Amino acid sequence: MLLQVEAVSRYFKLARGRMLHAVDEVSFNVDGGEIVGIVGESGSGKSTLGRLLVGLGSPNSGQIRYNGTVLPREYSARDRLRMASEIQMIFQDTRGSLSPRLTAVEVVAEGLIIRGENRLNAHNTARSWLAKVGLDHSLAERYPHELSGGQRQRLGIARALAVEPQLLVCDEPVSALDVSVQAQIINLLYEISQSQNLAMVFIAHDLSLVQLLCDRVVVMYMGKVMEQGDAATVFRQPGHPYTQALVSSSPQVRQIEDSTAQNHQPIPGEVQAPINPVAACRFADRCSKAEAKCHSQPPPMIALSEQQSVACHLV
Amino acid sequence: MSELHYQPDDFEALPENARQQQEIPPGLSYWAKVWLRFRVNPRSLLSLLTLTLLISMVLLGPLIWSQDPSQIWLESRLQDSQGGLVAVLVEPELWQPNIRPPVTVPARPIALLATTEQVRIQWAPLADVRHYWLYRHTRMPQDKDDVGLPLGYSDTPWYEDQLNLKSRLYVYTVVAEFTDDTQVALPVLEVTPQLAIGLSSARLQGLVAESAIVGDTVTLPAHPLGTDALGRDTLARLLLGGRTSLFIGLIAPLVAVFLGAIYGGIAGLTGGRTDEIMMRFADFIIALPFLLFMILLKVLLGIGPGENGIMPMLLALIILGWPASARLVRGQILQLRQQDYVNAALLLGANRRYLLGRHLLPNVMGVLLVALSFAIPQAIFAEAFLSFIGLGVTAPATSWGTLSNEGMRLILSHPQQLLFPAACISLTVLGFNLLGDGLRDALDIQMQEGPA
Amino acid sequence: MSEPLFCIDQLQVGFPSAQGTVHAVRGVSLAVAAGETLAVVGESGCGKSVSFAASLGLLPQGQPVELSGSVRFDGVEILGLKETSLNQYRGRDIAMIFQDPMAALNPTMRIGDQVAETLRVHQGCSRGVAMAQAHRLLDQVRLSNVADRLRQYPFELSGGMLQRVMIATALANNPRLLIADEPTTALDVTTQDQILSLLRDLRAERDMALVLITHDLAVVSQMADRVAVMYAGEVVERAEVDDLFTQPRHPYTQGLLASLPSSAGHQLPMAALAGTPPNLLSPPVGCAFHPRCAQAMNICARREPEVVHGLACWLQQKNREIN
Repeated sequence: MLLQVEAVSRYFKLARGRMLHAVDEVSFNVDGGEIVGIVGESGSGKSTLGRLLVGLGSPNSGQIRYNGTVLPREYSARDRLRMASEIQMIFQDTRGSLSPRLTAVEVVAEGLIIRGENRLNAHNTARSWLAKVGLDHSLAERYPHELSGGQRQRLGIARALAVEPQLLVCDEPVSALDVSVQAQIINLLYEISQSQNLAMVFIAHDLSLVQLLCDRVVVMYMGKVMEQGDAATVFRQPGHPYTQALVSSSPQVRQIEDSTAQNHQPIPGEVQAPINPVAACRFADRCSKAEAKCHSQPPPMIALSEQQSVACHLV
Repeated sequence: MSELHYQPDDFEALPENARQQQEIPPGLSYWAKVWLRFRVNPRSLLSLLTLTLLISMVLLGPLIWSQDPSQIWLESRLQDSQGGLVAVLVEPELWQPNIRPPVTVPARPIALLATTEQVRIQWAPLADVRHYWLYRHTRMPQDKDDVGLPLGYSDTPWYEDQLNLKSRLYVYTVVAEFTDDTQVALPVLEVTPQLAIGLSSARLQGLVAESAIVGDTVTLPAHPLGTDALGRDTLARLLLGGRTSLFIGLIAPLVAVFLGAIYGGIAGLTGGRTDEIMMRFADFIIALPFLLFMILLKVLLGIGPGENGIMPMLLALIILGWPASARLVRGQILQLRQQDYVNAALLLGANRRYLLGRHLLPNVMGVLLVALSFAIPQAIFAEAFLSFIGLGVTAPATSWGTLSNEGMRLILSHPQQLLFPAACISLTVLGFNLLGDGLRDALDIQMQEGPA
Repeated sequence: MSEPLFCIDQLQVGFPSAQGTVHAVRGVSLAVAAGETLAVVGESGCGKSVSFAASLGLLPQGQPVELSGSVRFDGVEILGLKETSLNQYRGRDIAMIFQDPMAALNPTMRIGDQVAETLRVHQGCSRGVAMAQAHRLLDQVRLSNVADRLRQYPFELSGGMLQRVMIATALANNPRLLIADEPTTALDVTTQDQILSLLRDLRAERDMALVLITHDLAVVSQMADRVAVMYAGEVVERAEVDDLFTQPRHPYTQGLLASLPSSAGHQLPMAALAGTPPNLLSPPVGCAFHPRCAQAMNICARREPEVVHGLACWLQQKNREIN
């Protein structure tokens, strides 16, 4: 096991004694070289979880093991430097994640320079990484605002990979990009994971992307894991009513012979913020199959098979 | 459909190198881009030009315009603008005219000598005269009572006028008062005194060589903006005053913003309880009343009223000025720390010093510059205000505020004495404000102008 | 054949920039018939939103330096009309909804008042009547707890609810044409599903024309009758929805469809389009897509393709020449 997330919670204190349970007792594992998808709608806590994994914010309870050792709650400067070549992150906002003052090659060389390499070597290595992520050498001296969204995301990937991490956390890396560019970036991530044997946590709201790219998937709703397992299995036979709703709501290109897409009933209600949640299934209010039990006790995680487990009373 | 004529190779595959690559605009650094945006704003450019002119004038002006701003010219007090007049050298001496005037002396008075140092008038004596009354007017009298300024009386048929003479037309009227109390006005005398300067005074001021004698002519120093109530050159004083005003106006905000940036940077980066305490202290400083603080500081430093207050003024402006920029920088740092590029650097193992030097401070620079360009006119205005009310700069040093104060007293007779320093203050304050505006607009770069 | 309800003809829009004119819309022609749904699809910056905003005088970028062509509603030319004349159409016969409903609502006004205000401005009815009608409209857009919502402020509502409020406001004057600019892009999938289903039902009930501006081909396939695909400020392909998805003719459309993860057949790598859309400061000579096109020919870099049968591509002419 490369990464073990064990009952990790992250709460945020709000005004008037309210508590936002952004991430609530989430557990999952990531194997070396494996791509794990985390899907959920806005407010599901998937981005907060992603940040906990890289040490941006510390969990209120639970722990994260990396290669068997527990990661510190608060990172010291030494911890940061040590973990830099282990876990890296790619961000959704390609503008905000690149300093407007640094050129492309400076961005990529940053990690190497921090690590103590001399400037010349760092820049040479950085240039070779720019080439590897498909950025033409003529772009090396460009500033982020002179690059397109896709090019900026390639730059973010090059920055993360230049320090040769074992695990890459990708927080919605393509959701701000155009469709044709999305495919380029997904291909790039896939090729890199194959060639570098890189493990990935891929956070996204787009089910079809996760289905395409990921080996395993974790479905989150209001801070809780609803279902997790083998990606193909979960999407083909979703066990949790929420996963079922998510799959049926996800826009798919309609097949001519398939008229169900237009006739399905959308699930009612909207995602709420998990503020002072009661002990119950968080999806119970919107669930068409909910029973009394669903409103009164939290469901345990039940293994449907070796590849799939579901947090639902009804299975 | 229109008939198109195809070339034979039109439908052959396009070679890879024939695809039009879009030329990518040249890489511009952040500051190059800021300058590009700043440049297109005419108001910003105008303000930059005005300020450059004002500052170079104040810095280089005294080197070119080398008149001593504290040289008092009692001969040429409150002159209007003039350039290089020619004066005749005279030596004031006791005048002992002949008791018996020449026969040719008519009943009409004549001027024996007419310079700005003295006008000597003589006329034929009349019998049974008790006094001769002398009056001076600046134009021809309209009637017999319109004789102008009474100068005094003489018992002899001559008179020497030394009262505040200028090189202009005077009309003298001599009125004879007889022993039987009747009065008769003599025919008026029109005189235009020649500009003159006392020989010893001219020697003292180094205008003439030791060998010069009475009757030689000498070119007096020019006063393009005239002179003040003590005959000091207004232009020279304006340049000297500008140095003081700009010195205080630039140094105080620079130091205050620098200190504030460090203070705010530490508070913002440390966060938590330290930040809380540091910012409450800054709030306390902001709450202090400036004027009271300034007066107490003067007392504390043992500087009495009327003594020069440049140092206490500088100190007060710095001590009360830093919290504003501290707040600003702290806010910026807190905001920047949320940026994902700072997070990314953190994940790459960056320590606090690296973050501050590489990411936080360079990005705070812009707002700091804007804050500075707004703090400068504030400080200049504060200096002017304090000097105007007499708390700041006092003689022999001067500043635009002090000059305005002095000019204020002469506003009715010589309004230019107030106009010049006031215009300088206004131009500088306006210039820096426009500069700040332009900078703010230019720095607010929506980095969305690159290729789509 | 009678003219379509709304018709854009050879529209050109250019914006000033520091480096020169950005040719955002370059000769776009589109038509919507009464009661049909036209989807306008393309990547960001392709000019899909600008075309409609410019048609209705609603450009957020301000006055363009270049605006020509013709826009007709119900046979009347409306391009370049003055504000007051345009207001006879906007918000009455033509309504618009946008991606960010929060930006279109006054944050300090209650929901009920805002919807009622629209009614009072356009129909001149009394406050009481307007409120009752607002209630009815919000019911129609399936807002939950309408009675409570009327008294709430925008920040108290979720994105999906706000979009419903916007739709209710748009429907207030029974428009004959509703232009929806990325109406669900900012919403979660389950909410998007609800809003799309609502729009579909409303369009059918009211027999109004719907223009759906979107980047999401999956949404297009579920909503549209006809589709116009835009690239670099031009319409490159127009087709019936079924034809477009079964037989995409333009290489760009083909590339877009291949880029969809769901059409990748669970196989990586995907057949992605190379490159990025061109900079519209100086669009490529010939076909704007030729630098990215795998099937590009010499003529593509020489001459701009003519639109024949709703397709702007030289491959069509090549096939004709060969046959």
